[in-house]
Amino acid sequence: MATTLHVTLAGNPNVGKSTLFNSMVSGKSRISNHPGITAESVDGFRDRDKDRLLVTDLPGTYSLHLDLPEAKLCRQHLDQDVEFAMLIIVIDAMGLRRNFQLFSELTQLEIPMAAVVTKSHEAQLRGYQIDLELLEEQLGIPVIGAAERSDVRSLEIDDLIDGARIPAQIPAQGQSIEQWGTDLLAKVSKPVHPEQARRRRLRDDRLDRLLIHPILGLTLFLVAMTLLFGSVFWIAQYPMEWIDALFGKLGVWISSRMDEGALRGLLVDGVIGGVSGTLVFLPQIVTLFFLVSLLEETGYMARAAFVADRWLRPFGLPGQAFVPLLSSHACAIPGILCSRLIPDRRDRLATILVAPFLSCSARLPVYILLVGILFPDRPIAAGAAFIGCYLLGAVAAVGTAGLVRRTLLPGRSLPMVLELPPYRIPSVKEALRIAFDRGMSFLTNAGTVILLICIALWWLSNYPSTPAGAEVTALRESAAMQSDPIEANSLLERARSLELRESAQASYAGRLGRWVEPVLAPVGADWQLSVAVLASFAAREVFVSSLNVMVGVGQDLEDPTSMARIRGSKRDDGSALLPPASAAGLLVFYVLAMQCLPTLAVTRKETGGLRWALLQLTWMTAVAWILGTATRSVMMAMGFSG
Amino acid sequence: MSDFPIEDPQFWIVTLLSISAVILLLWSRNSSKKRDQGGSCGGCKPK
Repeated sequence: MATTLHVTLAGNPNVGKSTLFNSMVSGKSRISNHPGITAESVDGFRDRDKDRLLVTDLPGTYSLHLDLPEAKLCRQHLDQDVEFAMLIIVIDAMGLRRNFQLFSELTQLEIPMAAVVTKSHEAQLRGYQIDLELLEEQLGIPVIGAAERSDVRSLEIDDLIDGARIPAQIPAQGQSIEQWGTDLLAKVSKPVHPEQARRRRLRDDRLDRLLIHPILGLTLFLVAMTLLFGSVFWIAQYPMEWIDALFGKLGVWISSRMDEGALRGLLVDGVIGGVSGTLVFLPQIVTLFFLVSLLEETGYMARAAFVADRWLRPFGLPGQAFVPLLSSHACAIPGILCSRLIPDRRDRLATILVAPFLSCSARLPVYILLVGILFPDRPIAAGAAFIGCYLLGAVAAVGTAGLVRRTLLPGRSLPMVLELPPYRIPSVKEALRIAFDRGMSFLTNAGTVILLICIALWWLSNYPSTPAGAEVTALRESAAMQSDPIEANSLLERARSLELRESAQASYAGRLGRWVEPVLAPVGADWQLSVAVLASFAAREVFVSSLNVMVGVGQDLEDPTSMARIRGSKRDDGSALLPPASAAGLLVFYVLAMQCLPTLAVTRKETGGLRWALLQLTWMTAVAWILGTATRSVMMAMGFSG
Repeated sequence: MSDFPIEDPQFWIVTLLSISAVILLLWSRNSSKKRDQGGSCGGCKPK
């Protein structure tokens, strides 16, 4: 049996450990251009010819002796007595001196070590470069370097692991770590284009004065986000229409080649209708993450964090809450896990409680559908409404935090220390890679979880079946007696439509929807939308797919494309399923509601009990219901149909 | 009166498929929870 070599990645926060980890195993860690993204140690495997690597990505820490959760976690891991262990320290060329404290502490462990130096390109932009050969000689362990984050993937890590050596303890007796670091830095650091670097620093300072200004910075942030979301709608609308039309044609093609029956219904309404209801949003998701990655690579997001910190603190959220809250825009669960890095318990609980208010990527399909219904063919208005959704979530989060910190969790929060990276031209290749990864993750989810939910939901919306009612039978009899074929056809179509609706209403899903309908009706949901809302507790984006299955089963619509199908579908009384006031009410409800069971489970785990999870569920649902109902009522009072 | 079309073989096929879907859903949720130590709800994914 092959031996297992335990490889541990350690280093300061935001030095590129997660990137290195992903390049070493089959990619299952989180990377971001802000510190603290790895809130717990993450393990991954890779098989080599001679052995197997068990790679552990530790959370970033400046020292093993700090009284912080991440330092404790590193100490616990490194104290284990593991055979065949080696350690890779990831060193950031931008702040070489800052990395020496941790390096010195790791040398005391007396295990084989090697080093990877990252961000050397950014160091060059700052006017210096690190002589890696000299650094290797001075540290006494093999060293390799990556100029850019993306270069880490092409590093010869296997050679580095095989060449690992136990370094001499640093600093030597009688020498301070500060003196040793200063001497080493003087030896290995060489100036590069100092005049250019000085000009670049001046330019960065000028830009910083503008972008982190308390008022101007916030205004520019809002403008940038509105443009970004407007572009998402504008760029993605064409591929979205193509995907929708493609699935529509596929449904028609299958219908024309299969006899009517349960299998055809499951395939066309359940599988194709359901999956296309989600897949149609792939272009928006890919475009959004491509543009956000480009923006992050420029170094702007760190400035945005700085601006946000000023606005967070008055609401009782600590500076450290920014990273968890920013992560929650992708998914609330890593955001909540990241909150472990917040040392104060009250700060941490407040952050966990409000993190799911931030709009995660699973909400995107729901936003796109409802915003698209509210603002058809108006990408700028749709973009503004989109950013409005994100802002509403953020306002609800800080408002709730302010309330909680003044009532249940009183006390002051700590300020944040943040390193601002230099501005740079973003890498299109890296942004494309991230967009591709997100797209693949979305596709995988649509192909598994959503497909399975749609199949189960289709069954629940079809059974138990009900025999044709008296009105349907009467319509059919009238049609049989008609001499005019056009009139007869019209009667048959009415009978068919009524039969489908009666059948959907009698089904298990229909009964459930009718049971929940009185609660959700003020927000704008009829029984069909109520079923979709309930189904989306498993995964938020299932809302659109569920709705697509429900309207496909209950109505005989001519337009096979999913968006048009939902837009054209009707309530029992024949009115539109989603008139403007109801679409707006539901949109507000979805922005604020705690529609995610897995997040509740993580809240329960991280807070050590059911109390905070129940508070989160009750508070978010209540806020969502009240504001959703208010939005619909105000719009109806303004004359919009609801 | 509501009922199930038990004489229709297609009913049994779609019922079996739906039961399999529910079992697979529960199983995939459980195994993804164990696999993804970094955490994600599955609906959305951390960056």
